[in-house]
Amino acid sequence: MFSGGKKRGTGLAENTDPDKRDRHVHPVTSERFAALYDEYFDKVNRYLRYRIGNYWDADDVTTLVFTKAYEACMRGGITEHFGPWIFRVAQNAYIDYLRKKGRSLIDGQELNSDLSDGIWQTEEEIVSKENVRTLHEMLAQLPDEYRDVVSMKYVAELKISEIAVVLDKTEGAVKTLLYRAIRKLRGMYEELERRERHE
Amino acid sequence: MNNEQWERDEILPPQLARDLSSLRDSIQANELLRAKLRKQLLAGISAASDDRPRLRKNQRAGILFGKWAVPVAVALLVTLLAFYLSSPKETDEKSVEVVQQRQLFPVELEALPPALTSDARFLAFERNKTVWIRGMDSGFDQELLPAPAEGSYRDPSFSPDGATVAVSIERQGQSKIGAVSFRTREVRQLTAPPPGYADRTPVFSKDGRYIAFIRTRVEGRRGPGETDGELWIMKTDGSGAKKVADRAATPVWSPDGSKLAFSRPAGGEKDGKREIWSVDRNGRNEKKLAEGLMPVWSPDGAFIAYVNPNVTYRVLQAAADGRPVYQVEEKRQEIWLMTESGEHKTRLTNISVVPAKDEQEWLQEVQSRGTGGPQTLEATAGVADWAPLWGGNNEFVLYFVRQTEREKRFYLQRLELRFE
Repeated sequence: MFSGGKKRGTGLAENTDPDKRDRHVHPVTSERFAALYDEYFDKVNRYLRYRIGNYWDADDVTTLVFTKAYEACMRGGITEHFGPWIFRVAQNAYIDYLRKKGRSLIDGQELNSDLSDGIWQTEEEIVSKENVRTLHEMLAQLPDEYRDVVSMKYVAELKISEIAVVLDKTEGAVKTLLYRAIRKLRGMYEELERRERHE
Repeated sequence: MNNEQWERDEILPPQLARDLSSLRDSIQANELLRAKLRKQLLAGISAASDDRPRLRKNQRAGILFGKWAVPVAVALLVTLLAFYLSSPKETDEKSVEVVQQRQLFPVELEALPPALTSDARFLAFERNKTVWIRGMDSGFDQELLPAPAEGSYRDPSFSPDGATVAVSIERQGQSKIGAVSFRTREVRQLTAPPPGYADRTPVFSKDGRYIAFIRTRVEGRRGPGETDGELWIMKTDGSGAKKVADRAATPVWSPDGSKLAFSRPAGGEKDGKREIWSVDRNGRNEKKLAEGLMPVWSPDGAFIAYVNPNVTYRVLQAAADGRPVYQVEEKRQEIWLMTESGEHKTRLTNISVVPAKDEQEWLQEVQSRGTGGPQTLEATAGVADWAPLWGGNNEFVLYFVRQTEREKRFYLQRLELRFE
């Protein structure tokens, strides 16, 4: 369950102090913005769809994120670290969303129910969906910061170095978090296997 | 373990790696949104990069025509100044104060009224024979469903939990009530009207257990949000349908679900006048509340907002010789509020132009010089306020749609209210 938490600074957009501003800033052009948009839209949209669960809400928040990105780019150009930067914007938008909704959501809560739609499926698809549902439940039991890194790494497919910038941590700290999250998930898998053997 | 091994997912147990990959594959990005938003944002960048030369052109134009631009612009701005005169059948007793009125954005809708989710995050409206959903924060539109072949989806209404959109499904001259899952977009048909009849304008009750709708003759004409017919209610699975009232349109539920309000033609029917009535859900105690249409019940049940089409104005014009003339009277549609028993009717919106300081100065100048005309009513004629919508569960926020005939556009406006 997401506990709210503090919003992280989004760097370029909110930093008006020229001394502190990212020095690697380039003027925005349609081509450059389009290239970054194409690279990151799916990652941000998938990440928010996973975190929020409700696709309509997630798409709306995605729109807000890229509109903010566009406005920030028009004001100050495009930072070299666009990927981590837009994910910070996405994280802050997600926190704002939760505050506005006035409730916390379990990641993928509605996505889970999507998986049970009664359409004809092959046995392989049924097993795969069942496994994804189980994974959802396991991920929901992880502490927030573990789920943060797992969703950025394996849903949004960010690199370790990018996650480190988004979360304002060292790469070593990110790897430690990931390692612990995976160890915990592995434990849950083993426990599940034990239970299934007994049944 | 180095970064490369992490990036290759070598640390993951095989089953977990497979499941994480399946999880990622199961979450598809929205391709339609990606394409539309891309186009919109890139168009913005192109427009911005063209801004400077255009500004310079405008500046040159300003220098050339500056001598005439100011009087012409002012004359256009102050084509008409209207002041409220009277509304003979309505009292003006104040029980509510409008703290702020704000125009939000234009909405390209083709029928009234639109619908709002209870958390006021999404607006649903009709366009191109189907229902569109607008994010109120992002301002971005998405189609709920593609329009059916040779048919249309109309009259959207959100369930209180926002999970379902009730619509009327029109196809080959027939119209039925359907429910669309907001998440999966699966459509379920709820009514099957007898031959010669059409079911329209579904509205969810506040507890989400019932839907009210209007059953009309198939040849029934669709007016601006008005389709008169029998008022029916049913459970949300389509069962237990029963008739509540006759000659009704645009029904709404009271928050406790015990009553419905609706509009119906006034006695004569031919003069287009409409009245707002309330009725118990069992069909008893019909009561006329006011002249007007499109009623909506406030979330606390104390008030009903509605469209009052009978507001009379005295209009101030500048005559050909520049003299101000107060002479034209016309009727406008505005948003009003009354108690649920039909008392204390109070105006909320005012579509007349309040003279700004420069406009007052211009008027004085016109009066002193005797020049400035002729002027016409065209500038503000045809402005009308429609379709009040409470801001979800917030009884202090009321939205409505302002129609400007001259621009042929609808704008969503927001009112903040304070109750005394």
